[in-house]
Amino acid sequence: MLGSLEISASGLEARRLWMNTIAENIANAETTRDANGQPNPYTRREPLFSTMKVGNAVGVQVLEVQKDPSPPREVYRPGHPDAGPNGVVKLPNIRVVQEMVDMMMATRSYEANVTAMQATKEMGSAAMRILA
Amino acid sequence: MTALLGWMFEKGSAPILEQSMNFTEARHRLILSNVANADTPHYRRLDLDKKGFNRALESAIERRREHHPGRFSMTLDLRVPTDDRGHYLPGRWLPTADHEGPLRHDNNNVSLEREMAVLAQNAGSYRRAAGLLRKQYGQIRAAIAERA
Amino acid sequence: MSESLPIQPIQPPSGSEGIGKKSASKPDGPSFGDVLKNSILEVNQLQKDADFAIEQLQTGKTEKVSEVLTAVEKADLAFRALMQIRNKLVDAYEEVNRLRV
Repeated sequence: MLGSLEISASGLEARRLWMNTIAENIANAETTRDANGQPNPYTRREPLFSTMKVGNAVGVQVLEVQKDPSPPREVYRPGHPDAGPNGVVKLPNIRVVQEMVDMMMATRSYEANVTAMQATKEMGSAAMRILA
Repeated sequence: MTALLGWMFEKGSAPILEQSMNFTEARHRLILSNVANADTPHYRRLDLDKKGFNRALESAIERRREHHPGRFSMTLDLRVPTDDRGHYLPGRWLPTADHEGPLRHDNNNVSLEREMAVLAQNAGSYRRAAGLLRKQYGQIRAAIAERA
Repeated sequence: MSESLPIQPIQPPSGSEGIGKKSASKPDGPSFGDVLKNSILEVNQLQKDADFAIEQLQTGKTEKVSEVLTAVEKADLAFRALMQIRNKLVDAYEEVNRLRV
Protein backbone atom coordinates (compact mmCIF):
# COMPACT_ATOMS: atom_id res chain seq x y z
CA MET A 1 0.00 0.00 0.00
CA LEU A 2 2.66 2.49 0.98
CA GLY A 3 4.66 1.79 -2.19
CA SER A 4 1.94 3.64 -4.04
CA LEU A 5 3.05 6.92 -2.45
CA GLU A 6 5.59 7.03 -5.29
CA ILE A 7 2.84 7.41 -7.88
CA SER A 8 1.49 10.54 -6.22
CA ALA A 9 5.03 11.81 -5.63
CA SER A 10 5.64 11.71 -9.38
CA GLY A 11 2.40 13.64 -9.86
CA LEU A 12 3.50 16.30 -7.37
CA GLU A 13 6.94 16.67 -8.90
CA ALA A 14 5.56 17.06 -12.42
CA ARG A 15 3.18 19.80 -11.23
CA ARG A 16 5.93 21.59 -9.36
CA LEU A 17 8.01 21.71 -12.53
CA TRP A 18 4.97 22.95 -14.44
CA MET A 19 4.38 25.73 -11.91
CA ASN A 20 8.04 26.76 -12.10
CA THR A 21 7.79 26.92 -15.88
CA ILE A 22 4.68 29.11 -15.68
CA ALA A 23 6.39 31.38 -13.15
CA GLU A 24 9.33 31.81 -15.52
CA ASN A 25 6.96 32.61 -18.37
CA ILE A 26 5.25 35.29 -16.30
CA ALA A 27 8.56 36.73 -15.12
CA ASN A 28 9.81 36.93 -18.72
CA ALA A 29 6.62 38.21 -20.35
CA GLU A 30 8.40 41.41 -21.37
CA THR A 31 11.93 40.08 -21.86
CA THR A 32 13.18 41.20 -25.30
CA ARG A 33 16.87 40.31 -24.92
CA ASP A 34 18.68 37.06 -24.31
CA ALA A 35 21.54 36.34 -21.86
CA ASN A 36 24.06 37.90 -24.22
CA GLY A 37 22.14 41.14 -24.45
CA GLN A 38 21.12 40.45 -28.05
CA PRO A 39 17.62 41.32 -29.20
CA ASN A 40 15.94 37.92 -28.93
CA PRO A 41 12.50 37.78 -27.32
CA TYR A 42 11.98 35.11 -24.69
CA THR A 43 10.06 32.06 -25.87
CA ARG A 44 7.22 30.64 -23.84
CA ARG A 45 7.95 27.24 -22.34
CA GLU A 46 5.56 24.42 -21.51
CA PRO A 47 6.10 20.94 -20.10
CA LEU A 48 5.42 17.80 -22.08
CA PHE A 49 3.89 15.19 -19.76
CA SER A 50 4.04 11.49 -20.32
CA THR A 51 3.35 8.34 -18.33
CA MET A 52 6.25 6.77 -16.47
CA LYS A 53 6.75 3.37 -14.92
CA VAL A 54 6.83 3.71 -11.13
CA GLY A 55 7.53 0.35 -9.53
CA ASN A 56 4.73 -1.88 -10.78
CA ALA A 57 2.45 1.05 -11.39
CA VAL A 58 2.13 4.05 -13.65
CA GLY A 59 3.05 7.58 -12.68
CA VAL A 60 3.86 10.71 -14.65
CA GLN A 61 6.95 12.56 -15.72
CA VAL A 62 7.89 15.68 -17.60
CA LEU A 63 9.63 14.34 -20.70
CA GLU A 64 10.78 17.71 -21.85
CA VAL A 65 10.20 21.39 -21.29
CA GLN A 66 9.32 22.45 -24.80
CA LYS A 67 9.45 25.83 -26.44
CA ASP A 68 6.17 27.18 -27.71
CA PRO A 69 6.57 27.42 -31.49
CA SER A 70 4.10 30.27 -31.94
CA PRO A 71 5.68 33.49 -33.17
CA PRO A 72 6.55 36.49 -30.97
CA ARG A 73 3.90 39.15 -30.41
CA GLU A 74 4.44 42.20 -32.54
CA VAL A 75 3.39 45.30 -30.65
CA TYR A 76 3.60 48.94 -31.70
CA ARG A 77 5.76 50.70 -29.07
CA PRO A 78 7.94 53.30 -30.75
CA GLY A 79 9.64 54.32 -27.48
CA HIS A 80 10.93 50.83 -26.72
CA PRO A 81 14.74 50.40 -26.98
CA ASP A 82 14.28 47.28 -29.11
CA ALA A 83 11.64 48.75 -31.36
CA GLY A 84 12.29 48.37 -35.06
CA PRO A 85 12.29 51.26 -37.59
CA ASN A 86 8.50 51.05 -37.86
CA GLY A 87 8.18 51.30 -34.04
CA VAL A 88 7.17 47.69 -33.63
CA VAL A 89 8.70 45.53 -30.86
CA LYS A 90 8.84 41.76 -30.91
CA LEU A 91 7.66 40.70 -27.46
CA PRO A 92 7.62 37.18 -26.05
CA ASN A 93 4.72 34.95 -27.14
CA ILE A 94 3.35 35.00 -23.61
CA ARG A 95 -0.07 36.18 -22.50
CA VAL A 96 -0.04 36.67 -18.76
CA VAL A 97 -3.76 35.99 -18.44
CA GLN A 98 -3.30 32.59 -20.03
CA GLU A 99 -0.38 31.88 -17.74
CA MET A 100 -2.52 32.73 -14.71
CA VAL A 101 -5.18 30.28 -15.87
CA ASP A 102 -2.53 27.60 -16.39
CA MET A 103 -1.16 28.34 -12.92
CA MET A 104 -4.60 27.75 -11.44
CA MET A 105 -4.93 24.44 -13.25
CA ALA A 106 -1.47 23.31 -12.22
CA THR A 107 -2.24 24.21 -8.61
CA ARG A 108 -5.52 22.33 -8.72
CA SER A 109 -3.83 19.23 -10.10
CA TYR A 110 -1.10 19.53 -7.50
CA GLU A 111 -3.68 19.65 -4.71
CA ALA A 112 -5.54 16.67 -6.13
CA ASN A 113 -2.33 14.64 -5.95
CA VAL A 114 -1.87 15.79 -2.34
CA THR A 115 -5.39 14.61 -1.47
CA ALA A 116 -4.73 11.29 -3.17
CA MET A 117 -1.49 10.85 -1.23
CA GLN A 118 -3.32 11.63 2.00
CA ALA A 119 -5.87 8.91 1.25
CA THR A 120 -3.02 6.45 0.68
CA LYS A 121 -1.56 7.25 4.08
CA GLU A 122 -4.91 6.86 5.80
CA MET A 123 -5.48 3.50 4.18
CA GLY A 124 -2.01 2.40 5.27
CA SER A 125 -2.83 3.36 8.86
CA ALA A 126 -6.13 1.53 8.76
CA ALA A 127 -4.32 -1.62 7.65
CA MET A 128 -1.73 -1.26 10.43
CA ARG A 129 -4.47 -0.92 13.03
CA ILE A 130 -5.65 -4.44 12.26
CA LEU A 131 -2.67 -5.60 14.25
CA ALA A 132 -3.66 -3.60 17.33
CA MET B 1 -0.64 -25.91 13.13
CA THR B 2 -2.54 -24.06 10.42
CA ALA B 3 -4.34 -27.23 9.38
CA LEU B 4 -5.54 -27.71 12.93
CA LEU B 5 -6.57 -24.13 13.60
CA GLY B 6 -6.98 -22.83 10.06
CA TRP B 7 -10.75 -23.36 10.23
CA MET B 8 -10.85 -20.41 12.60
CA PHE B 9 -9.88 -18.09 9.77
CA GLU B 10 -11.95 -19.75 7.04
CA LYS B 11 -15.40 -19.32 8.49
CA GLY B 12 -16.93 -15.95 9.17
CA SER B 13 -16.27 -12.77 7.26
CA ALA B 14 -12.47 -12.55 7.58
CA PRO B 15 -11.60 -14.04 4.15
CA ILE B 16 -14.31 -11.95 2.48
CA LEU B 17 -13.00 -8.75 4.04
CA GLU B 18 -9.42 -9.62 3.08
CA GLN B 19 -10.35 -10.08 -0.56
CA SER B 20 -12.30 -6.83 -0.52
CA MET B 21 -9.24 -5.07 0.83
CA ASN B 22 -7.06 -6.58 -1.89
CA PHE B 23 -9.43 -5.34 -4.54
CA THR B 24 -9.85 -1.81 -3.17
CA GLU B 25 -6.09 -1.52 -2.72
CA ALA B 26 -5.42 -2.42 -6.36
CA ARG B 27 -8.16 -0.06 -7.48
CA HIS B 28 -6.66 2.71 -5.36
CA ARG B 29 -3.38 2.42 -7.26
CA LEU B 30 -5.16 2.96 -10.58
CA ILE B 31 -6.91 6.02 -9.21
CA LEU B 32 -3.53 7.40 -8.11
CA SER B 33 -2.26 6.86 -11.65
CA ASN B 34 -5.29 8.68 -13.04
CA VAL B 35 -4.75 11.65 -10.76
CA ALA B 36 -1.01 11.78 -11.51
CA ASN B 37 -1.80 11.72 -15.25
CA ALA B 38 -4.70 14.16 -15.19
CA ASP B 39 -2.75 16.45 -17.53
CA THR B 40 -0.98 13.87 -19.69
CA PRO B 41 -1.94 14.10 -23.37
CA HIS B 42 -3.65 10.97 -24.78
CA TYR B 43 -4.08 9.42 -21.33
CA ARG B 44 -7.37 7.62 -20.65
CA ARG B 45 -8.58 6.90 -17.15
CA LEU B 46 -8.32 3.36 -15.84
CA ASP B 47 -10.38 1.50 -13.29
CA LEU B 48 -11.05 -2.03 -12.05
CA ASP B 49 -14.24 -3.95 -12.76
CA LYS B 50 -16.08 -3.58 -9.46
CA LYS B 51 -19.25 -5.33 -10.64
CA GLY B 52 -17.18 -8.27 -11.83
CA PHE B 53 -15.48 -8.44 -8.46
CA ASN B 54 -18.80 -8.35 -6.58
CA ARG B 55 -20.09 -11.23 -8.70
CA ALA B 56 -16.95 -13.31 -8.15
CA LEU B 57 -17.09 -12.63 -4.40
CA GLU B 58 -20.71 -13.74 -4.29
CA SER B 59 -19.84 -16.97 -6.10
CA ALA B 60 -17.02 -17.72 -3.69
CA ILE B 61 -19.37 -17.19 -0.74
CA GLU B 62 -21.94 -19.49 -2.35
CA ARG B 63 -19.32 -22.18 -2.91
CA ARG B 64 -18.30 -22.02 0.73
CA ARG B 65 -21.90 -22.36 1.85
CA GLU B 66 -22.42 -25.46 -0.25
CA HIS B 67 -19.44 -27.37 1.04
CA HIS B 68 -18.91 -28.66 4.54
CA PRO B 69 -16.49 -27.79 5.99
CA GLY B 70 -16.60 -24.58 4.03
CA ARG B 71 -13.39 -23.40 2.48
CA PHE B 72 -13.28 -19.91 1.09
CA SER B 73 -11.30 -19.70 -2.11
CA MET B 74 -11.24 -17.04 -4.73
CA THR B 75 -8.60 -16.60 -7.37
CA LEU B 76 -8.04 -12.90 -7.30
CA ASP B 77 -5.46 -12.08 -9.90
CA LEU B 78 -5.19 -8.37 -9.39
CA ARG B 79 -1.85 -7.95 -11.06
CA VAL B 80 -2.08 -5.10 -13.50
CA PRO B 81 1.26 -5.33 -15.23
CA THR B 82 2.92 -2.35 -16.81
CA ASP B 83 5.20 -2.13 -19.80
CA ASP B 84 8.43 -0.17 -19.69
CA ARG B 85 6.85 2.85 -21.31
CA GLY B 86 4.49 3.21 -18.38
CA HIS B 87 1.28 1.73 -19.74
CA TYR B 88 -0.96 -0.69 -17.92
CA LEU B 89 -1.57 -3.90 -19.81
CA PRO B 90 -5.00 -5.56 -19.66
CA GLY B 91 -5.41 -7.78 -16.61
CA ARG B 92 -8.20 -9.99 -15.35
CA TRP B 93 -10.19 -7.26 -13.69
CA LEU B 94 -9.01 -4.29 -15.67
CA PRO B 95 -11.30 -3.36 -18.51
CA THR B 96 -9.61 -1.80 -21.48
CA ALA B 97 -9.10 1.89 -20.95
CA ASP B 98 -12.23 3.60 -19.76
CA HIS B 99 -13.58 5.57 -22.70
CA GLU B 100 -16.29 7.32 -20.80
CA GLY B 101 -16.20 10.98 -20.17
CA PRO B 102 -15.62 13.89 -22.45
CA LEU B 103 -12.29 14.11 -24.21
CA ARG B 104 -10.40 17.31 -23.81
CA HIS B 105 -8.36 18.91 -26.55
CA ASP B 106 -5.28 16.98 -25.37
CA ASN B 107 -7.13 13.67 -25.81
CA ASN B 108 -7.26 13.10 -22.04
CA ASN B 109 -10.51 12.08 -20.35
CA VAL B 110 -9.58 12.36 -16.68
CA SER B 111 -12.00 14.44 -14.65
CA LEU B 112 -10.43 15.44 -11.33
CA GLU B 113 -13.86 15.79 -9.72
CA ARG B 114 -14.77 12.25 -10.63
CA GLU B 115 -11.41 10.85 -9.54
CA MET B 116 -11.72 12.60 -6.16
CA ALA B 117 -15.18 11.11 -5.66
CA VAL B 118 -14.05 7.59 -6.62
CA LEU B 119 -10.93 8.01 -4.46
CA ALA B 120 -12.97 8.94 -1.40
CA GLN B 121 -15.53 6.18 -1.87
CA ASN B 122 -12.89 3.52 -2.50
CA ALA B 123 -10.68 4.61 0.40
CA GLY B 124 -13.74 4.60 2.65
CA SER B 125 -14.54 1.01 1.64
CA TYR B 126 -10.98 -0.02 2.37
CA ARG B 127 -10.89 1.56 5.82
CA ARG B 128 -14.26 0.13 6.71
CA ALA B 129 -13.21 -3.37 5.69
CA ALA B 130 -10.01 -2.95 7.72
CA GLY B 131 -12.06 -1.92 10.76
CA LEU B 132 -14.39 -4.89 10.42
CA LEU B 133 -11.45 -7.26 9.98
CA ARG B 134 -9.84 -5.85 13.10
CA LYS B 135 -13.03 -6.60 15.01
CA GLN B 136 -13.08 -10.19 13.72
CA TYR B 137 -9.54 -10.83 14.84
CA GLY B 138 -10.30 -9.11 18.13
CA GLN B 139 -13.07 -11.62 18.76
CA ILE B 140 -10.83 -14.57 18.01
CA ARG B 141 -8.26 -13.09 20.37
CA ALA B 142 -10.91 -12.67 23.08
CA ALA B 143 -11.96 -16.30 22.73
CA ILE B 144 -8.38 -17.50 23.03
CA ALA B 145 -7.33 -15.37 26.00
CA GLU B 146 -7.70 -16.79 29.47
CA ARG B 147 -9.37 -13.63 30.56
CA ALA B 148 -11.36 -11.85 27.86
CA MET C 1 -38.69 -54.99 83.72
CA SER C 2 -39.01 -51.30 82.82
CA GLU C 3 -41.61 -50.19 80.45
CA SER C 4 -40.19 -49.21 77.12
CA LEU C 5 -41.11 -45.75 76.21
CA PRO C 6 -42.91 -45.59 73.04
CA ILE C 7 -40.49 -44.11 70.57
CA GLN C 8 -42.16 -42.46 67.71
CA PRO C 9 -40.24 -41.73 64.59
CA ILE C 10 -39.65 -38.04 64.12
CA GLN C 11 -42.21 -36.65 61.82
CA PRO C 12 -41.46 -33.70 59.72
CA PRO C 13 -43.47 -30.65 60.68
CA SER C 14 -46.71 -30.45 58.79
CA GLY C 15 -46.94 -28.21 55.86
CA SER C 16 -43.37 -28.83 54.87
CA GLU C 17 -43.97 -31.56 52.33
CA GLY C 18 -42.99 -29.30 49.50
CA ILE C 19 -39.60 -28.20 50.83
CA GLY C 20 -36.64 -29.99 49.34
CA LYS C 21 -38.69 -31.81 46.77
CA LYS C 22 -38.39 -28.95 44.32
CA SER C 23 -34.74 -29.69 43.70
CA ALA C 24 -35.46 -33.24 42.75
CA SER C 25 -38.36 -32.57 40.42
CA LYS C 26 -38.67 -30.31 37.33
CA PRO C 27 -38.44 -26.62 38.25
CA ASP C 28 -41.20 -24.15 37.34
CA GLY C 29 -39.04 -21.74 35.44
CA PRO C 30 -36.03 -22.36 33.16
CA SER C 31 -32.93 -23.73 34.83
CA PHE C 32 -29.63 -21.96 34.75
CA GLY C 33 -28.41 -24.58 32.30
CA ASP C 34 -31.25 -23.76 29.89
CA VAL C 35 -30.60 -20.04 30.21
CA LEU C 36 -26.95 -20.58 29.43
CA LYS C 37 -27.70 -22.81 26.44
CA ASN C 38 -30.16 -20.24 25.05
CA SER C 39 -27.59 -17.49 25.47
CA ILE C 40 -25.06 -19.45 23.48
CA LEU C 41 -27.61 -20.07 20.72
CA GLU C 42 -28.54 -16.40 20.68
CA VAL C 43 -24.94 -15.26 20.47
CA ASN C 44 -24.42 -17.74 17.66
CA GLN C 45 -27.40 -16.38 15.77
CA LEU C 46 -26.28 -12.79 16.22
CA GLN C 47 -22.89 -13.79 14.83
CA LYS C 48 -24.53 -15.42 11.80
CA ASP C 49 -26.64 -12.29 11.24
CA ALA C 50 -23.53 -10.12 11.42
CA ASP C 51 -21.63 -12.37 9.01
CA PHE C 52 -24.51 -12.25 6.56
CA ALA C 53 -24.74 -8.47 6.86
CA ILE C 54 -21.03 -8.16 6.07
CA GLU C 55 -21.45 -10.44 3.04
CA GLN C 56 -24.26 -8.23 1.77
CA LEU C 57 -22.16 -5.12 2.26
CA GLN C 58 -18.98 -6.42 0.65
CA THR C 59 -20.74 -7.84 -2.42
CA GLY C 60 -22.45 -4.52 -2.95
CA LYS C 61 -25.94 -5.90 -2.30
CA THR C 62 -26.74 -3.34 0.36
CA GLU C 63 -25.82 0.26 1.01
CA LYS C 64 -27.15 0.31 4.59
CA VAL C 65 -23.80 0.66 6.28
CA SER C 66 -25.20 1.68 9.67
CA GLU C 67 -27.36 -1.43 9.84
CA VAL C 68 -24.39 -3.65 9.08
CA LEU C 69 -22.18 -1.94 11.66
CA THR C 70 -24.96 -2.20 14.27
CA ALA C 71 -25.35 -5.92 13.61
CA VAL C 72 -21.59 -6.40 13.94
CA GLU C 73 -21.42 -4.44 17.18
CA LYS C 74 -24.35 -6.36 18.69
CA ALA C 75 -22.77 -9.69 17.87
CA ASP C 76 -19.44 -8.55 19.25
CA LEU C 77 -20.88 -7.27 22.54
CA ALA C 78 -23.04 -10.35 23.03
CA PHE C 79 -19.98 -12.52 22.43
CA ARG C 80 -17.87 -10.61 24.92
CA ALA C 81 -20.68 -10.76 27.50
CA LEU C 82 -20.79 -14.51 27.05
CA MET C 83 -17.02 -14.65 27.53
CA GLN C 84 -17.41 -12.87 30.83
CA ILE C 85 -20.05 -15.38 31.91
CA ARG C 86 -17.68 -18.19 30.96
CA ASN C 87 -14.91 -16.62 32.98
CA LYS C 88 -17.14 -16.24 36.03
CA LEU C 89 -18.30 -19.85 35.77
CA VAL C 90 -14.71 -21.05 35.54
CA ASP C 91 -13.82 -18.94 38.58
CA ALA C 92 -16.77 -20.36 40.53
CA TYR C 93 -15.86 -23.93 39.56
CA GLU C 94 -12.25 -23.46 40.62
CA GLU C 95 -13.35 -21.93 43.90
CA VAL C 96 -15.65 -24.83 44.64
CA ASN C 97 -12.84 -27.20 43.76
CA ARG C 98 -10.63 -25.52 46.31
CA LEU C 99 -13.08 -26.12 49.16
CA ARG C 100 -11.73 -28.71 51.49
CA VAL C 101 -14.52 -30.97 52.43
